[in-house]
Amino acid sequence: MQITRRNFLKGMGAVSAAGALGMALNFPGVNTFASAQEAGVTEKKELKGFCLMCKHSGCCNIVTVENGVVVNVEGDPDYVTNQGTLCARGKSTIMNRYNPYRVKAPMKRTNPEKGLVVDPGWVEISWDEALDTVATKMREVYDNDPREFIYFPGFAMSEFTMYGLGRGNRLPRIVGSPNDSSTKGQFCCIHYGVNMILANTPTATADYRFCKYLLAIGRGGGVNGSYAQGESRGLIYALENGMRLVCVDPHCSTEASLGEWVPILPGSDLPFILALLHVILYELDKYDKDFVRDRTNAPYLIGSDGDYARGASNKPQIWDLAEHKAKDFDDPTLINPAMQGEYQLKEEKVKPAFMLFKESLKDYTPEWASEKCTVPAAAIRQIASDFVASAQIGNTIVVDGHTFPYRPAAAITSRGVTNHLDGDIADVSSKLLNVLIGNIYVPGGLHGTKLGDNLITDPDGVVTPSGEATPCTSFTYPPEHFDLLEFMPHRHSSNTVACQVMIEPEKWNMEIKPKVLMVAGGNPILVNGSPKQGEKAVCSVPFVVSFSYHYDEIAQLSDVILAENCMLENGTFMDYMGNECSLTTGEPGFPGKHVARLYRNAVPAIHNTREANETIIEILDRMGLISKLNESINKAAMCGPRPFSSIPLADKYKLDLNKRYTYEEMWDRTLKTIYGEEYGLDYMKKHGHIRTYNLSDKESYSSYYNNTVRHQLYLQTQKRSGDFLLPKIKETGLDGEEYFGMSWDDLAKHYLPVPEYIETNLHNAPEEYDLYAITIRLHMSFFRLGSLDQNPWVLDWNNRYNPFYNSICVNPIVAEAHAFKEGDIIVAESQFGKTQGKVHITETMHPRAIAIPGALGRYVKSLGEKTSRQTCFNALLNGSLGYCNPIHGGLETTARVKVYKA
Amino acid sequence: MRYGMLIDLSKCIGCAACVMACKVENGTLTGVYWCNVYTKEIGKYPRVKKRTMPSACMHCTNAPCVKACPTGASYHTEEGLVLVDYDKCIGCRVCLNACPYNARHYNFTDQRKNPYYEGMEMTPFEKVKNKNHPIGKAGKCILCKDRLNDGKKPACVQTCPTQCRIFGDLDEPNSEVSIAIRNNGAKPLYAHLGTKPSVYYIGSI
Amino acid sequence: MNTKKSGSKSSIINIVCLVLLAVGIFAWSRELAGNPGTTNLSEYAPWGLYIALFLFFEALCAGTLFIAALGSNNLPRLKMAVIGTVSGVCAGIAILPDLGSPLTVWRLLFAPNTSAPMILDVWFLGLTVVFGILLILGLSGNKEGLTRLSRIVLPIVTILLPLGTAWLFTTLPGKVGWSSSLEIGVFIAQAALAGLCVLFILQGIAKNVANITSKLVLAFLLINLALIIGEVGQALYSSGIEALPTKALLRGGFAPIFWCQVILGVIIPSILLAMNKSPLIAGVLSLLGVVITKYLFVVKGNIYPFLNIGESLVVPELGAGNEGYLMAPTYVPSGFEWLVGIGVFALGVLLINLLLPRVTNKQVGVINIIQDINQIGVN
Repeated sequence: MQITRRNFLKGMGAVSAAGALGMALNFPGVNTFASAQEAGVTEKKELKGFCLMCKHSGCCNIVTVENGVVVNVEGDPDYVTNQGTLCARGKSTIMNRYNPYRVKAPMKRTNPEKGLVVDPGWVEISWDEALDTVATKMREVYDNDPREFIYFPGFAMSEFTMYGLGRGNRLPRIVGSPNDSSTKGQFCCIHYGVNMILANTPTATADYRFCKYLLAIGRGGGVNGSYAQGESRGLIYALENGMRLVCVDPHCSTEASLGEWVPILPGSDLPFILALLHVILYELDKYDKDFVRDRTNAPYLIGSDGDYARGASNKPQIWDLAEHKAKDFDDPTLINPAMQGEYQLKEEKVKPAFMLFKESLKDYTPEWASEKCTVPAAAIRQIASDFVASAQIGNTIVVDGHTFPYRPAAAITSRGVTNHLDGDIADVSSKLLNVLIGNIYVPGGLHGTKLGDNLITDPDGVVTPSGEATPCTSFTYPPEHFDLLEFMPHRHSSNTVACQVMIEPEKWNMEIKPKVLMVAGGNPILVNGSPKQGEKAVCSVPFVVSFSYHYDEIAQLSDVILAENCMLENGTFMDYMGNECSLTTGEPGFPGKHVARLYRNAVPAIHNTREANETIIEILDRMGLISKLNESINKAAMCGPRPFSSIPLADKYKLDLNKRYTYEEMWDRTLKTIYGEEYGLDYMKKHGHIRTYNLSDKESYSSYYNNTVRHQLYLQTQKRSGDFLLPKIKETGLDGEEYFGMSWDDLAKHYLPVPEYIETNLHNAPEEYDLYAITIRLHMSFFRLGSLDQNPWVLDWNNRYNPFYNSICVNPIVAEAHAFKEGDIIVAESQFGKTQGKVHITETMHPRAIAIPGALGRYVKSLGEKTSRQTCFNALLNGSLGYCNPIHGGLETTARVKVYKA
Repeated sequence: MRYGMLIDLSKCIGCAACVMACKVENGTLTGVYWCNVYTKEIGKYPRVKKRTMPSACMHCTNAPCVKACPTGASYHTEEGLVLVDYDKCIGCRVCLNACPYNARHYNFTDQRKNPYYEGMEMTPFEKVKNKNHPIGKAGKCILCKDRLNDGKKPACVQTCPTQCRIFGDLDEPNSEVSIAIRNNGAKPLYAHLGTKPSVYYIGSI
Repeated sequence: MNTKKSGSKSSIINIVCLVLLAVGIFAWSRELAGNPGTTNLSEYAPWGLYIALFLFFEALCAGTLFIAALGSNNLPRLKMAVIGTVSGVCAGIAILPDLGSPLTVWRLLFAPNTSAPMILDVWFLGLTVVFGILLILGLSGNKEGLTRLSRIVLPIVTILLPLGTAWLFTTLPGKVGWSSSLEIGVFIAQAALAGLCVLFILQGIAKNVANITSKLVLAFLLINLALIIGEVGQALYSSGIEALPTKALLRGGFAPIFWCQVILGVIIPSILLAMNKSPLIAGVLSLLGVVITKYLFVVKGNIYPFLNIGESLVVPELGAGNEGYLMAPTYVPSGFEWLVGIGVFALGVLLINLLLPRVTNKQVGVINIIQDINQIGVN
């Protein structure tokens, strides 16, 4: 095919119906770009933008375009987070632009039969036809029952900016549907604990500037993700500065190698954490007693119903040992709160919450835990003792002239802990470890990602839980959320559940059926616990439209594909919320400066593709809903003065309801509303970013603003939620096992106010599945982001030089038992599926665990032969309700497996 | 003037950002990595550590590749860089054997026949950069000489997320890199071979 | 002997050689075009078959010309001079396909970096071939002056030639498989053995093997065996990294070739010679032993590409190593490399076949040698 600019613009997307998806590859030639200029003249441009090759989006970059060809991407030295650095993913993004497996124009399916191995018979269509088709289908749903429109956004951020039209899933709200479900939700359920205990989001972070002992359980502190926006640098700084890093993990990761590795059996974090609490309370009896007494609900008296015993004022009561009587928790005459004992309040016997908390942990000895988690009891005792000793309880520190308590120790958790059937309990318990040493929101301790003044004191004197931990107060039946929000009010977004329910909504007595599914930047098949279930769910929807960058699984099952720009071609905005692994890097002023609104100057698209937010606006316009959109923006602009917030547009920037605006204009008005006239789009185009905050170091710590509120040690809000919800669920008459994958009694255990150990399906697997399979993060392969599994640089280098890439990692003990030699092709088989790959024998694995590193493996061949053959961890998982955490919806991401030679 | 580098192994996290930065900057052929990072595994379970070893041309003052090159294609610049003059290189690969650091590379294949995307044509990016990699010539790290001329640091140095590389003039005793080498007692790799590298390491290799 | 018949047979050989040469050139052109997979050379095995062939032809050239120059007139000096000189040419030709840019090869002669040991090869090989030709001219044309000049110069340059090459290898820093000074001795011993083998084979063909030749071949076979045992013994008693390449030859991917070299190339011919049986087979096997020795020597230098940092290094595209040190994958020449190598041999045979009848003024060519061998076989 002779390449000319004309035919590449016109026909690059057209592919044969014979299944050779985009295989007849032609890139627009260099000469194509140069043709406009005189021969020999080089046109070179530098564009400021931001990177989205991971979900963090905290790095700004500068893209060099020479005669239309992107020849360089590097970090923007002017931005405080990445300081000119970029990670391997961010660097490799150039290849995304030139990915031959891209969707190069809008496409429509001609084969009505759908399936992952069925040729869709793609035909290229005009944008007009594509948008009209989509708008017509959506308008039909809108006119009939808008709840039947389903929106699946995702994290695949190199292909799409998160959340259609700014935060809060504006698109489905405008259409009038409650049914949005983030496709990555089942792997992203890390918020519940931090929402409840710290009232922050999205996650709890460490403070590398001051921390001296970091207990990382099932999570990395930034280095494993090689984040360039400060966390990798910060962790290294902390280590240089003498911080001890203890990594509790089935795999000795890069971070564990920098610190101390404590191998643990996958899925047994809960007993480990419970034993730490036990040792601190029963053996060491050393914790921040002042903090527990004055800054938690531990002294609150609890009645026989398990809730706060309230006085005449309806306030929670505390027993004052000085006067031998109960007083309001905020009574200024309160002198000596009782933490132990049993007291008579009116007709009721009451106990301080602390008593109940402590009693609940009585049996969880290190010996008991050691049997379950394989960490030696002595090691558990040592860790507990070091953790408490490092906290320097009683010490203070002066930051910016303000005296804070100094607690340079923290325990952090993330997906390795939360993504289990008991992950909610383990995660919350880990937060309680921190509460015990009083390190919440103080230098060296545990923080939330969101900086500054966050804590709202509720009438009981306790922190008001935020987001997903907000207690449940309503119940609708039959349910109208496909992801069963009614049954799981604290779920993050469980796409796996949504898919299961979409296949047979009538089983849950739902009155609606999915009619139109829109997918943007997500992949409900690949990240589903059961890919077959995802396929079935998507195929069950009569009309599916996807914003697609490449021919992935969801594109394969769509009726219409709206061709999307690659990351570098997407001129768009981002509301960067802040570093998730650490508040600080050791660089003074860092925390208060690094949060920003970012803008990307787009590199001209090489194919007939568009920016997705703009396309959504176009669809709403064709649906006749532009006034609803503008009204929504007027009420809540793209962002507010703080991350996760929104404000109405200022009057002079309000949108005319009947006029169509571009996505950039909406942001322009938003920024001008917040920052003033001169900080609109033009400013962003020039500078690439604008700081969200300008906080001093002391102002970055939330306790600077509120140092009186009490945190929950006794999980009263969780219990309150269960007390409301569980009877309602029982009233439906549904059988828990059948409809929810667990008995209602088992569900009730997740709503207890104190931590409790539970046996889960993971531990009850048949004995032949003798090993525990986990996935581990690779620097260039995680979260399915950035199309890294097709990137030729990433594939080539990792295949040659990274022994963990595309492998099944086993300890030499496992290898010897099965007579595996390095490089043998072996099969890992769970109760639910199997995958095969080359074995990598490594001492860095727990001897009872195997790891399938990275997010690899595909179910379609349209992304390249190499990519489709990779080892796929998700094939081992189960996506049905019994394997989803009933609180936050997280998938059980450990699978019991057996291994054998292929 | 002698450009040099210090790599702090205790800060290296093996992320290979430098590898990709080198790829972007120099557009080396498929499978060729002027800058590379190797993985090591030391010890036995549970007392085991992953270690990483970034490696590239050491720009030796007493460079065995320059000595062994039969046509003088390998040469030193005034700034101490070891470069290859493609016009003079006959492709004998004695330099690949001469270099104890595996820092020498060779363009065995035609990029058009072995492009980044297997079975596809070259991307526009490759077309732009491919002219710097003629077939049958030895290639190597050029310490991003064009970036140096623009007053920038080499791509691997600039991109490192943990900033584990320090770049500067080794002949200037007060340069950041010279001071850091002195203060940390940094050593080059295989000092016993007498190659006098311009790249120093902190930490155990 | 029917000269007409042997003449047509000679033409057939020439044609076969030309075909093989053409195939070799074709294979070379595919390599030059940068077609993936045409060579199995890589960054971890930058030198392979071609360099091994160079080393073999060089040894053959040096040893043969040394004897041709110094030998008495009852030896087949002229034939040896032709074979030696052609070997020298073949050595030079064998290098060409190894060069990525053969058109720039003139730089080796006219714009050299004189501090590079490789330049010694260029000079000494050039001198050897030039004086080899002079010797041929002297012997065939009965020009005493030329013969005497060559008799003085050739013994010197044919010793310097393998020495120069040995220095090229032994002075590369950090290449533990090459750096032993013992290798210099091996180079000289191999050259001597190769030259003696040529003499022995020629005498065998002429059915007048001198007792002293047979004993000298046996002696040099035993010297080579002693050097191998010396190297292996040193490696086995050593715990250092420098011993690893030799140990790898004993056990690794190259072990079958190593043992083939020892048994086929050294022990069997030694036994045959000691028992005075099948002298031609013994001679050919000994030459084969030299080829394999050279091949193993070339690959030995790159078995451990990482030196000390190779300890506990894990690189998937390379293999797991001995004693925890990462090894390069076993290098086996590709089909194209074999074709090119065979082409070089074919060129050698062609040149000898064309040259010998002309310089000896009678129908003596490879065909006669083969016929003679056949007759020996019949007898």
